[in-house]
Amino acid sequence: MRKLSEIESSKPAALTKEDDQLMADLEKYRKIALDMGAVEARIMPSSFLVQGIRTRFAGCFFPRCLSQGLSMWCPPTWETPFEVAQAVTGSYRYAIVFRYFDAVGIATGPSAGSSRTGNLEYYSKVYGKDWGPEAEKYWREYAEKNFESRPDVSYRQITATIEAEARKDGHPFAFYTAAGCCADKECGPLGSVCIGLKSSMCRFPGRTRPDGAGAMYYDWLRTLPKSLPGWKYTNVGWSILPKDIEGREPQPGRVCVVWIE
Amino acid sequence: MGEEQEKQTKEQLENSQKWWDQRHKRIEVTDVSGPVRVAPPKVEDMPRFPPVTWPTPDELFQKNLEKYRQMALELGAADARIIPASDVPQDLRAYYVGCINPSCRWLNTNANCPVVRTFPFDQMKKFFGEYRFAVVFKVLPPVVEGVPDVGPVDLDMYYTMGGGPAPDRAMLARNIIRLRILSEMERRIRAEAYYDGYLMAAPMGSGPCLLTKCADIRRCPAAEKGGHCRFVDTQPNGAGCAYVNYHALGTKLGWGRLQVGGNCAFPDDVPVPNEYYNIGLILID
Repeated sequence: MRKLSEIESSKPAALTKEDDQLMADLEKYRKIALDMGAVEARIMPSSFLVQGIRTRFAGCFFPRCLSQGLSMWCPPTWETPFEVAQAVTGSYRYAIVFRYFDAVGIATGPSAGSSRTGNLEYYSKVYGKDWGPEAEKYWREYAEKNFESRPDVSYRQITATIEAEARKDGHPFAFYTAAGCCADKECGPLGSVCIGLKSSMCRFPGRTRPDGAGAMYYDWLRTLPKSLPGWKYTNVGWSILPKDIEGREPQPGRVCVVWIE
Repeated sequence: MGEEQEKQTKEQLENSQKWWDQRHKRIEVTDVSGPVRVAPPKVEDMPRFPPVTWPTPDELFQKNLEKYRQMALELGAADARIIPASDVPQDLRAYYVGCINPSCRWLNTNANCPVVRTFPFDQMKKFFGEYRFAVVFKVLPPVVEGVPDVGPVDLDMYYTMGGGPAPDRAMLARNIIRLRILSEMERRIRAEAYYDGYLMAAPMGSGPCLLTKCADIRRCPAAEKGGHCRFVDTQPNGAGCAYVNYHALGTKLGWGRLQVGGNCAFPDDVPVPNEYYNIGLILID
């Protein structure tokens, strides 16, 4: 098998003029990703991706994800059958994949469950009133002290820009998937309440979409060693505080993918 | 290295050791009895894990598996094994006979048991097929006043709401203690694996989470319309939802026949107390 770097630099022999245009467009999207802050970006054939049914079960159910059931795009409300997800990605030839490093602290420490908004209302909604006044007070103060300094996430701006550009360029089926729960991100400032669960109508159509791991079965743990060697990240979570990973290489981050054509 | 920095490094190391010791401490009945903690601990009391890089190199896999096996033993398991995930027997009967026919007392009562949570059999086979290994351990019931905690106390488990006076809270806590110990062991081992970079480590739920987590409120908020689970460390039941045949698994591992408790199993009636056990299972890859 050829190395990925070789695939990227050499054009398939059977390219038509249209394919030439496609390659030029892909290169343009790759540059957009880099310009907007991606650490590394590549044009990837769709076969690079490993999909696994475990990403839905281990990621959302075993054990339960904090966001499960919070929005219409998360399990158990939403399910894309595995075969459908495979067929969808299999019908694409190329995707733009980029590597993005989160700002330290954005997805780690006690706010990891709702890294984007970090709002206490989110926890209160999930955990009800069982926390008790003392814990409520403690975590409210913690949120006020720590979450303000957390920068907004911009990887979604990159994926959304590439998707929009691609559609404008005549790739009507370009799409990206979300990373995480939209009730946490889009509706976070509104109290993480998904009205789509009751009305089936989303507040932010066009901006929300199913999660990449939970709905499209992206298995990055298998994909990275196979297709993107060298792409490594620092693990994060509730029990790793931002100060534990300050200055650590590689930084915590994520893999983002936009399917083009 | 500056004095301040040196002090910080030393402090971090000490904390790391402290959390490590805490995570590996044997789980006692007193650790898991009483009301379940819902709010997270304060930051200074939070268990801490050293950051690692993922994907974890494959060379560390066997070593880490052995670490989780040892951890299960340290936490109080009577035996722990590493087995290929393909050796975990899955059987439709585990769901159909175990949960539906006859109806289990916990059927449809919580979000991690059938019928509220049901997965197709072929998907669960495929799910297990994507893992290389599983850490399996057996937990004996705690010994209370010199005898294994089995038998008539289990009667309370069959208490039906609205069907008479509620059982004594202390008795109820005693009933669920072995399931709570087991679920706490699974939680800690899974956390260890997760923070080692095995993000897809998947523990199987053992027993209904209505018993292990929400026995005090005696209802499942997640199973109610518009409700959400209060916990992050719950997962669907291994037998009912993932079709794991624990009886065949126990026999296969040479742990003897898994003796089922119940109303009529008094301690005197249990011929081999060592064979009255529960099984914990975590898929790791």
